[in-house]
Amino acid sequence: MGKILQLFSHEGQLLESLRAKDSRAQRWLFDKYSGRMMAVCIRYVDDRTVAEDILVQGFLKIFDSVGRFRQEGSFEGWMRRIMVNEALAYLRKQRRGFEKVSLEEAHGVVDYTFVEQNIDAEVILQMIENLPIGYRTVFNLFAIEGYSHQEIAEMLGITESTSKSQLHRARAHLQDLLQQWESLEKKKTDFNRKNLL
Amino acid sequence: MKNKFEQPDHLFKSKLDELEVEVPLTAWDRIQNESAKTKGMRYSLKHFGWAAAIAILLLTVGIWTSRQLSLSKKNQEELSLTNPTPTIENLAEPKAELEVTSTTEDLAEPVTLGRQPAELAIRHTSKAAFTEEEPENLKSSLSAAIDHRKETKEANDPTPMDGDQGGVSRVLVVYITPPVLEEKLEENDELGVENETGGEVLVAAENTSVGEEPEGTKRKGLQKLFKQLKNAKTGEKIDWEELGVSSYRGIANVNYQRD
Repeated sequence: MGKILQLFSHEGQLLESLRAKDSRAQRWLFDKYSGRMMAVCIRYVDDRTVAEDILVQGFLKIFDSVGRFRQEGSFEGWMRRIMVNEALAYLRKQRRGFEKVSLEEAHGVVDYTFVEQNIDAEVILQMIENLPIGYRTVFNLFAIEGYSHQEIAEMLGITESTSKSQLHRARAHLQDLLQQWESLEKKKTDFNRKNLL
Repeated sequence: MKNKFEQPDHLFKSKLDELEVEVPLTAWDRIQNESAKTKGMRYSLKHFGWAAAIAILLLTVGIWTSRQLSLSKKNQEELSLTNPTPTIENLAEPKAELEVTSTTEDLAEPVTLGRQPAELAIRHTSKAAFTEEEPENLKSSLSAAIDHRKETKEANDPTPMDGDQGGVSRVLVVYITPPVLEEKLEENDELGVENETGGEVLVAAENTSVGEEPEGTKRKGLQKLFKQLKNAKTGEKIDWEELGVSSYRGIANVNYQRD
């Protein structure tokens, strides 16, 4: 593995090998990025088996269309976009609409410094997975991928106002979840302190 | 300082950006299998695509060639219809131009005069009448009739006619009046009466290709001719209508020509 990593230490070399359909380069790319790409897929699709399907299709597309990558942005960003598009294509096939779900909005204030220091990424991922599909998709696209509401509206075939309202509700729901987690965590730490004392 | 909306966004982004999730081991095998399938499909599309293109091209050329052949056949058939080969049926139903030369005067003359220049007669008509008195005249008439038929055939048919292979020349000789018997000749000599030189004949010549007309029609035409020949030999009246020669039509045509 070490030798292979040395072989493709430069992105240019890797791209050349991928364009030449070098199976070693493909394997190296998969080994390096599959974990991150799988996380992307799971953010959009809550089912792990479906996420694996999307991952496989995404990598096949990457290997097939690597010649079209113009090196204008990062290669990882390009791969991520392919995965996101694959996930969205799956959701379109499922025809799962943007249902309005009445969720309890957070009334308190979240201590983000505490949360950021103590929360695991896995817990964050679970929170996103628990969101209704419409909220989850818009939040992922806006907050994590960095798309604008106009772009999201075009991608999902919705209006900008729908995108905005979905994001607002997603944020509110996540804040509520974060607040619940924070209170639980604080109770745990308090309990541990008392036990220690 | 981030506002209350940007804070959760930043938290989620920072935590999820570098997150890695364990990937099932089967994922890479599935990718390899899928890529092998697509490679196979591409290979087959590339190669069978060429084969299909060649097959379509050959098929198109084949269809075009067969159409051209059928067109040329049709043209040949149309040409043969516009320039039909003379047959016994054609002779049996003579056209107006032929009838002018083949009746009344031409037929009447040999009866009375017993002479008619063979070649001239053949040029005007397919039926010629002359006496059997001069065998050389008869020979020349026959050959002239055959030549005339060949000429007309060659003129009508664009394909060159090969004597033996292209068709068969038939010459039919019909006695209009039977030749003078030897006994009568001797009798005339004794009486000092001038001899009548011989019988009158009708000569008809035609070229026919092998297999050109059905057997039945040939037989019928020949039967008609031989029947009249038999009538002529036994001294019975010849039915000219049956042979396709009508004196009435001839007269009408002669009158028409004179006008």
